Amino acid sequence: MTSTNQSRRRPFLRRAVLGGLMTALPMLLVCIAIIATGEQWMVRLAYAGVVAVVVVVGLQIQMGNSGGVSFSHTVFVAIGAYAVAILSVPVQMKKLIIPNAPFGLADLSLSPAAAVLVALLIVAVLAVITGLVIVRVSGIAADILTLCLQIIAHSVFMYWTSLFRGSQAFFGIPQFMTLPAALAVAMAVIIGARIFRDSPWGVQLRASSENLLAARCFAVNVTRLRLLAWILSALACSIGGMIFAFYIGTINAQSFYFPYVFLTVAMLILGGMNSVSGAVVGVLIISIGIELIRNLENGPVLFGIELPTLYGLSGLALGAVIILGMVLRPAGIMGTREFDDILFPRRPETE
Amino acid sequence: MLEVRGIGKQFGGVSALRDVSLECRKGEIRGLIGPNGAGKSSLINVISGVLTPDKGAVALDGRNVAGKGPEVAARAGIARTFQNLRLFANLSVAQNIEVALTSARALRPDAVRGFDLHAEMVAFSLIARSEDAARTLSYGDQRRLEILRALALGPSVLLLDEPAAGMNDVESAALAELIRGIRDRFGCAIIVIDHDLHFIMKLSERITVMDMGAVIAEGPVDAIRRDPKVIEIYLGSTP
Repeated sequence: MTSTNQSRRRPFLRRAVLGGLMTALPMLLVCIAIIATGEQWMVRLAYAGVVAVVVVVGLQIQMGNSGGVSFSHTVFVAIGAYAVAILSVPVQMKKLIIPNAPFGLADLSLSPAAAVLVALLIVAVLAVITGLVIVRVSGIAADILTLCLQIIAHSVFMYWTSLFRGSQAFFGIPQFMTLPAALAVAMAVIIGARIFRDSPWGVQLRASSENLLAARCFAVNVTRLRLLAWILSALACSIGGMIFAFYIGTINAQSFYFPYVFLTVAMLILGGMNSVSGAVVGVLIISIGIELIRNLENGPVLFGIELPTLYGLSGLALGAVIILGMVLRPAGIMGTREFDDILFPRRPETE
Repeated sequence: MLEVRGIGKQFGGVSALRDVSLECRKGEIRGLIGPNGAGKSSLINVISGVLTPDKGAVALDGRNVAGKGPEVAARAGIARTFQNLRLFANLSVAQNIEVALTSARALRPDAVRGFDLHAEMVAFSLIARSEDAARTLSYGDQRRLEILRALALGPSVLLLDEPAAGMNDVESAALAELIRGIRDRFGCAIIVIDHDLHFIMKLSERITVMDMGAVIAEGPVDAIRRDPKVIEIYLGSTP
């Protein structure tokens, strides 16, 4: 080669971090406005929205980079929530709710920080085990596998009653999380997702989802990268479950089943699964939209006219919005772009 | 050196490749021609690991990579372009190249130690579009991007499947110049398939001619030009 320069890597970290902060900004502004109102019911709704951001961004790490749909991400949300619950509930409370818990768990209580670390380890191990199976298949087969994983996990939560309490609520979880703390966690997850997306590994994985054969012809280790995305996605989703549990204090398996699966998938697809900004936009639009429509469901009085109650309107509207979104913008609102791509487009290099 | 020995490949009952052998030395530009269905692209697919041959070997510097998959061929130093473009459409020009460069840095660091992404994008007239999505490029730019992406693997062997397809005479001539430049600067063996005989004859040092899945002639350009079998398959009769 005539060139004597070293093969320099293109920098991506700074752009990914700044872009991640920019992506988090709309969520941050909405939440600050809500905190300023001092309305507790709005703070609770905003908290649910922030949890959804963590989960949907977690889902984006897998779906947006590897391609395909995942129906099992809420399994990891549930594992995260149950793991910190089982590990951190005080022993006295455990004697009441899971007295016959296996592995001596009824007599164990960790600090929330230790519970989080152990829970992340458990999620990582389970993600490796499930990922080794799922990343080896593509297309519809992979989508169906994630669906099966969801059903298997739900059965475990429902019928391993000595550990998960089945259909009964698991309560007594320490409630120490606040909206600002959850915002900080969500921002970290968003920045993490951006770093992975923009990293050389993320770029290779996205390349493989666009053209698998071409990626293989350039020695891209597709299986390994898919596994990495699967594990990171599982960890991010589980963090969503953990901050949910530490705020609400009570969880049950139904909260993580199909309605939540479809809601979060719809959020990502509407916003645009190929960008982290799309995940945040999807959560904001659907969360705010559902709350507005829920008010209409209850038969509000508008301009002196009492409207009839319209139960089920939110589900109907959610479906309609998603159909419209898919027809008008099949790649989602953001497509493949991040906020910073729109506001500060990358300039081409000069000669 | 690339050595293809006795490759056979059948699709159903049809022989796509019949006992095909070919050699390409370091720094050589080898043309591969033949009518439609001659087996040229099948041979490129076998060499690049995309197709598993029924028999035969593909050895690069003595190491057989036949039938071991495209990843193994790429790791060994075989890079390719595609007859039908296979760019990563939503990735930028620079990211398309980085996909190959990332692999090469991990697997073939010595081969890309001096690869200057910026300088190469300038050389390939892609620098002004470096941050644009590949799908937004003109056809000619996309063809050049495919070649540059393949070069970013630091290949020992570069397989170009119809790189001049759809180009006019001026663009073809510029492309021929570019390919010669690649050979001179990178020193890799280059195998080029194209239907444009003028382009291939001008560019190549040696030519392999295929018909019906078999090699019917092989040699320097002038000898191939005069070969009766070659004249027959292209003109329909021996002069």
